[in-house]
Amino acid sequence: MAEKTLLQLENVHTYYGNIHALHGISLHVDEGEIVTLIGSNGAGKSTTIRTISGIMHPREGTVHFDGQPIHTVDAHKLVGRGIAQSPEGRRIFPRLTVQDNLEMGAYLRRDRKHVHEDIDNVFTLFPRLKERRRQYAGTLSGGEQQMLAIGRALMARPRLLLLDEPSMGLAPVLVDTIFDTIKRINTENGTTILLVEQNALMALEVAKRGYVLQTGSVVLQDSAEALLKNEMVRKVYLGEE
Amino acid sequence: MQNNLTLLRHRFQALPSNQQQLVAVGGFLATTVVAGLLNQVISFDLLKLIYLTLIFITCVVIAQWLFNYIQILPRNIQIVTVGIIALTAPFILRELEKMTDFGLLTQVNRALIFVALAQGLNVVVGFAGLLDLGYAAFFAIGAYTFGILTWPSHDIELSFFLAIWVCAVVASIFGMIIGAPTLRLRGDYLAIVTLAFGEIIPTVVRNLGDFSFAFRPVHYLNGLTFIFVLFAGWLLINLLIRVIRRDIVDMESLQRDRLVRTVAIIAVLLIASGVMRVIASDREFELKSWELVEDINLTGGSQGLTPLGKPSFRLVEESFGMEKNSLRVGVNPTFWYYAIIFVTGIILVAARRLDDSRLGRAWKAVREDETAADFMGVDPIRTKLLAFAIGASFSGLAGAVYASMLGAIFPELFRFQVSITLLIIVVLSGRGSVWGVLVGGLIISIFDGVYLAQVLPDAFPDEPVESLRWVFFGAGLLFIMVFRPQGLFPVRTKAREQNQGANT
Amino acid sequence: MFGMSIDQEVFVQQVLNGLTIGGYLALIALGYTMVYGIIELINFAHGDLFAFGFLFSLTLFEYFNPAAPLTGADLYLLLPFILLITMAVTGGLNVVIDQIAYRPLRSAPRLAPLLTAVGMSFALEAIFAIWKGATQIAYPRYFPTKDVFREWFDLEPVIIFFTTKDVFLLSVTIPLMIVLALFIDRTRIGKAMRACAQDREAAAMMGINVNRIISMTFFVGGALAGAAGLIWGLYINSGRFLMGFEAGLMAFTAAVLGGIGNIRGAVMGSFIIGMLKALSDGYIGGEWSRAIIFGILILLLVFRPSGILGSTQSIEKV
Repeated sequence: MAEKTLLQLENVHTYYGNIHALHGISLHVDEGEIVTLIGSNGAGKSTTIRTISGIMHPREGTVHFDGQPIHTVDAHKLVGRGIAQSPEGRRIFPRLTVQDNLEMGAYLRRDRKHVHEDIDNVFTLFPRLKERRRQYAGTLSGGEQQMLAIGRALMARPRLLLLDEPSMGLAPVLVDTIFDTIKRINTENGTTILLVEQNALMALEVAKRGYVLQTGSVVLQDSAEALLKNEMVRKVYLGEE
Repeated sequence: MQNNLTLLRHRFQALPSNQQQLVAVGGFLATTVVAGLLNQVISFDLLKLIYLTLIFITCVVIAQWLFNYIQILPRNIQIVTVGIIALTAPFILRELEKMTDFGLLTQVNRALIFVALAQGLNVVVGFAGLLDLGYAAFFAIGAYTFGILTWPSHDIELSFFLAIWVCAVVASIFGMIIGAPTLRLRGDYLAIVTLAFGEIIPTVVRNLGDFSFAFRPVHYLNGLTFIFVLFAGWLLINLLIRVIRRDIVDMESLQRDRLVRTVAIIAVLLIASGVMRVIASDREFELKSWELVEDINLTGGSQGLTPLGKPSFRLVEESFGMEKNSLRVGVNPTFWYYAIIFVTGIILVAARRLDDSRLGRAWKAVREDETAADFMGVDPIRTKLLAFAIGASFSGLAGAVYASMLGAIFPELFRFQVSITLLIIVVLSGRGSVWGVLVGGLIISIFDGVYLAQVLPDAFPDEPVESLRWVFFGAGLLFIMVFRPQGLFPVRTKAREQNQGANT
Repeated sequence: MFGMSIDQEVFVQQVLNGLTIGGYLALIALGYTMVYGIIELINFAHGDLFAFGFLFSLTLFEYFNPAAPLTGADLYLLLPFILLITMAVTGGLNVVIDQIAYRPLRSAPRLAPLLTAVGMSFALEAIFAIWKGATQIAYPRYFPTKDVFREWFDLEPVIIFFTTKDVFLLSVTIPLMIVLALFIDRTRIGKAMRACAQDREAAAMMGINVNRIISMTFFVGGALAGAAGLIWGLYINSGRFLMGFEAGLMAFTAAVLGGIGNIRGAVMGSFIIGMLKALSDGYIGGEWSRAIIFGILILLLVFRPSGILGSTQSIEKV
């Protein structure tokens, strides 16, 4: 039996003012899987994420989440429906403490007890954050900030987690840790993940399926293994001759 | 609400530019209807207001068609047409005045002065991107310099034709003085400092009217003089360091610069306190010496200065053997129209040439990205100081002419409201657009001086229409900014940039 | 008193004056700084909310028409009630102002909302003039005035005059500031406000309804200004439609002095400005106070371009 589709984009066109950024993107994410979007700078990966999370609205096309249309819903309402994200450039709140940042992630949740449990869970996932819980988030290193951004998104107990460039600007050792954690979040909590990455190799290794974006359109879609073997992907995104 | 508005805006921005302008001007005036409704719903003759509004819109639209039509004509025909319109305008306006009973020509004169002022502000805000909330200060400085130089009681009585240039120079010096401490500031902090200067100047002007030292207690004098000496000293040092030592690039010399300044300030402090001590230790000496300047009345305080010098043509009169003062112009608005057209014309040409000059490009570079401009070899400090100086000189000139035309000046003329009206002119017309500010300034000033100040009160003698002036301005500004964030008559290339900027 | 000379008493009196001026300025300055912190807008109309608080509370007093000075239930029940209503209505007015004049311009160039704010300020002043007349308005001496040192402590200062009104002013303003600080620091909404101030888009991604938080910020700022208006009425006992401009300018200067966007900075700046104003009123002459305060503001900004407690990071251009 086919798995339940959690997220479905159909023919999505998004604009920045008069600049046409997404030219009819169609994709779907099933419950419980990790799907990755790969592509070069300006391919429209982040715009796709922003369109899903309601920061931007498509001028044409539909986005369905759990069977409901969400393309006109504002970002802050989508969090309540189960979509959380770790945005590009991390966007943590630099002058709030680590603890407060995590609490902001659980802003809509009223169950104080479970929120505290989840904060502890995030600290188990990222022990470094526990040491720095009373520190301003702006004083953390890049890697720690990334962990905080992911942890903060998890605090909403999302059904769909959007991760935008979690490895950007991080040291290779940290990149491995981050990807291990992504895998763990997926297997242990059963959270569905849509992962946007420039590091196509790492992304395809953790993902089940992948989409390749080029100038605002999906040019290729397949299972992760197939994409890893695909000649075009190998040449363009994995940098092999 | 937000979404509907966004949708409306997208639809609106898809319209061609001239239709946009029509819709915007119409909307601007339609808000007057709404505001009028709000005012007194029951006893208000709404139809009359709509009717009057329509007449005004029609006038604006005709003016705009004319403007657009002139733009596509060949250049020499353009000049001839504009010249003919400019030269014959007072006679046409005189005839219109007879027909309508409204003071039109004086308002056009005032509008042209405001255009000249707005051109100066446009240099600072539009070209160089420096937000100035206290621009009326330069207007005041120009007018008061003129007043001080020509007020009969001061026994200077400089000729009008000489005094106006002195005023421009004095204003530009003040522009640099006021600009200097703001050079390191950005954005809103700059706005605040200019606002502060805009408030200080009228305060000082008001207090310099009865500046009699002798009756004040000693500590008054000490404190005041001390602060002024300190301030003036600091400004001078700052100016010297910043303008002369332009070559500070490395951190070490920057720190040395800071050190030098600190030492200099301490030195000024010490010297000033020493001087104070000398004065205070010998009370008699102090009183005596101040009694000499006891009743100095520099600015006339809150009453202001009147009468002021008018242009006189003594030389012409003498050489043609005419009677003395036979060419005295007094308050004849037609004469003043030509005088103002001349001065505003000079300012327009200057602004136009600056726009395309090396300096103009440097201003725009600093406006877009100061750090990048610095790396490109543009000296931001010098560039900004020049923007302040040139902008101020325009308004010094305009202020002097204005003072002479009115024949009287007082601090209330240079209130914060004037700075804001000028900013509204620049923003509504399109920042950085010389012709835009000309047309926009004329329309807005005439709207203010004729429509709001004369036509509406005349039509509704029992309603407080004029006091709702700022409701009209606020609503109009809001409306135009929502639908045309780049202004009514923007620079063509700039419109494109800003469109992108506003939407990303 | 305490063996002080007259000169020393004069000085102490000026310091006390400075404290009271600083107290009500701080309430206004907080609104400026909070709104600036969250949407980077200099809300010029904010000072006029202070005038509105003055006029509105006067209207309420006239409606209930208690005997002046207030006693018994009037003092302990009616006064707090009027204070609360005034705060709520002024806060509401500020929210409405935001909805009308600033919200449509969130994506316009930054100069535009600044100018509509100024226009809004002038418009409010015009409306106040029509509402209550353009003359000086007397505010009845509702608050009982007793000289604290002479009547409570049996001390005999020559100059110093510190009354129950001063005590009232400080005992309303200072707790309000503390409550506000705790609200911003500790509560969920307060943290959400800080989050919005730091990164509005990221805050929306957390599920924070940014527009509602902005409205709340306007409400809280307006309520504080309304409280300041009522306190001023009871303290000074007169005002006029333009009072908001002057007070707003001072409060705004205070907010900038402390580092705009910074809550503690606004309070600190207000007390500094209060002191400066009192001292220059007392020693130099009231007509120069404005020039001196602005002069000091300019000097300070030259050496610390982001205020005393402001962050040093560069501020975006207009």
